[in-house]
Amino acid sequence: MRKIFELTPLVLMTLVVAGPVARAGNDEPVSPEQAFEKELEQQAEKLPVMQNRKYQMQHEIAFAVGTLPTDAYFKGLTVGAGYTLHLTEDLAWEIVNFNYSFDFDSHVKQQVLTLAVPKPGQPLSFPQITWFAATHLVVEPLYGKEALGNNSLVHMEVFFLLGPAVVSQISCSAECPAISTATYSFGLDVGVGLRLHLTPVTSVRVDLGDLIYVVQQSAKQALRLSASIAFNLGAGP
Amino acid sequence: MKTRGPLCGALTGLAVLTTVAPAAFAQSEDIEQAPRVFSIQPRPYRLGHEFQLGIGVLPLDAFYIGAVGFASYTYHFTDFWGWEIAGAGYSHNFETGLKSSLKSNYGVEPVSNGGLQVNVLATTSAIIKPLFGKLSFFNRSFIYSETFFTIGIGLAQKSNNGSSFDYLAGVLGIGLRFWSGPALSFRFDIRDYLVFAQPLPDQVLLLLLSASFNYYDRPDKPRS
Repeated sequence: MRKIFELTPLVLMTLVVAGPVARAGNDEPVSPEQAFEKELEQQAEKLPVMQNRKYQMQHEIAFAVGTLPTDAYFKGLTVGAGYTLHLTEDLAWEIVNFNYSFDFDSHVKQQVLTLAVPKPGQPLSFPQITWFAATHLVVEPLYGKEALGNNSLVHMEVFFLLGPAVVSQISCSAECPAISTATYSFGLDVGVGLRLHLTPVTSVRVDLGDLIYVVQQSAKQALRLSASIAFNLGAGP
Repeated sequence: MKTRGPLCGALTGLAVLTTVAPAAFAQSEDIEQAPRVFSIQPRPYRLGHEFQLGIGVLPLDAFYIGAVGFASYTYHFTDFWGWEIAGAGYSHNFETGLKSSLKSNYGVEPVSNGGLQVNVLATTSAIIKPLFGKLSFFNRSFIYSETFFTIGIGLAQKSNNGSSFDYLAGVLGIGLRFWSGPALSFRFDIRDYLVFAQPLPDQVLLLLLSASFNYYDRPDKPRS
């Protein structure tokens, strides 16, 4: 008990002396360098943290299957391939994209063939796309990862495509392609896509695009949907 | 002095290899068998009561293109799944010119099912949301995103010349959501409606852009 009474004045003295010193420490003027560093730290806390991309694309070769579902007279099943050179993380050039379409007569075409009476000297003819090729500027603004069921991660990317296109068409009647004649049209292909990275080399992409082309001075369009498997050559993880 | 011959060296090397190799192999097996560790952050945004307003297009039909106004209410049970209790769209249709082209070129006109156009799509659907994450935007900022799938049933109303018919419909879809904040997100949906107007269903593709307003009323209950 005596010890406590002996210690109390000592503690009080320490507080009296040390208190103002401690307070003076808080008000101590800081140098401009320290102030700058402090400001940087405060700004860094506000900035988002960007990780390096796990998957870097470089030379991409893609093989696709897809469909041309909107034409009145045929439905196309497409197979295609493309080569894309990725210039930066945000920008790429799909140097060539080629698709061949296996066309199937639509219900409308079958009905017209059954019911229609052709004009004399003019057999019924229905234009259909046989192939199309395009070159695209690819902008890839969105890259990231999503948690799959809170158990694993999927790396993905959203991209947009725009570029000139060539469309080859033939006009068929019931005897297609026996009396068909090929015509070539120029146009524009615009699209959006989603890529899921499976490994550093392989990825799966889904494309939705619109081919706009000119035939006999009138604009036509064909919606295209495709799914591809893409191989990334020459780039590590 | 006796020196060790090459045979002795080879034997020693072999002995070392036979001793070390299984150990090294065991070590690589250990590494391969080690569990993969992922760092999954907690979700900053959670859905509770979601009200969706959107505009879309029905691009698939050869005779018309539909401009769609769409609205829905979804209750989200967990982070993994929700129920779109009601989702309905009204389509204002524009002719593609095929009808007049058929008449002028071939002298035929669509009748019966060929003249019907989708006006209303109303469904109730399960929403499965297995993917949630964040995407960097041009490497400068990031946005939170979610990928979800839709499966449901409902009705489709088709009409022509003032008479309308209701058909059973199913819907399958996939969508991407981008968060703007806890209460607002934007989503892009691709939905394929299967309309059973005939034994073989018609397909009605809907491309939809929407704004979603979210009210999450259980902030203290983290959900799996």
